Amino acid sequence: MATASEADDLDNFLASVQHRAFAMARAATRHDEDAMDIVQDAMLQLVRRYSNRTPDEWRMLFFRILQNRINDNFRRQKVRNKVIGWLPGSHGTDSKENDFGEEDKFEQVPTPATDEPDRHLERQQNIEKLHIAVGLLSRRQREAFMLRCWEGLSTTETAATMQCSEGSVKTHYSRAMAALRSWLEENE
Amino acid sequence: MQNEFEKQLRANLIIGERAIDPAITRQLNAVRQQAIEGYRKPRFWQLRGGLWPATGMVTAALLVFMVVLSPLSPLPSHNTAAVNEQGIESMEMLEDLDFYYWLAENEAELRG
Repeated sequence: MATASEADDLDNFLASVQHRAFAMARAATRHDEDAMDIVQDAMLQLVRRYSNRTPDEWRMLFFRILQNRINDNFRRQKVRNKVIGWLPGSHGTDSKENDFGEEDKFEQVPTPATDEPDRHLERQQNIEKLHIAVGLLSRRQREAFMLRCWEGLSTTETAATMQCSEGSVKTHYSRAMAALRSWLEENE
Repeated sequence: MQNEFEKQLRANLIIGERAIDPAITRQLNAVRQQAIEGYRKPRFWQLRGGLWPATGMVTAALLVFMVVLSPLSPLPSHNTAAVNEQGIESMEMLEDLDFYYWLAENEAELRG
């Protein structure tokens, strides 16, 4: 049976990552309910399947599960959009798709209004812009950015979490940073 | 090693995390508690070493009870009584065997 101490360790770990996990899922999906479902699934999966692992392993495992759940959400969203596209009255899109079958969204999303004088609001808008830009990255670029820059994993840890080579991580990450820089500068 | 642009992005992302709505935090806490409850109350197949011997003992005791003491299985004593009665009759017949031979030989005469 799980001891109180083991359960407390797991609880403390999940408490330490829950806000970041939600923020990542929300930035990717742009939807609070979807983000909450993703975080819930990731927590349940970690507890059910990996609670017997050491606390040191939980971080990478949790963020791998989280990224997988985000990708599952994108796949479901894509199928849903295709079905809706077939319905009468809907408008098809001719936009270019990236390597994950996502539309090239960098050209489509309007930026938040920037006429707020207040400094706090300006900061909030910057964060909002950044979340929008992260949500527009391709799947692999988004994963690399979230794990390397946001969560602060090393290149080796990111490669293990993304299940690819370190060279691929570097490529995806540098392209992600270039795309973010370009979009944020254009939308200042 | 992060450059200034990366540091700025990360700082903004962390500020964004801290600004998450309290209602969302409450939901996250509830979701976390739900996940942890599943860990605190393991299912029977997740029982760890300490409970398996006790479970085995209880199962063995139940099996013994079912096989030996079950009222559904007939007790051997019911049949042995019948066999014993039959055996006693057979023994008496063997002891009087000469009488039965004599009876068979003289049956016609006795009937007249």
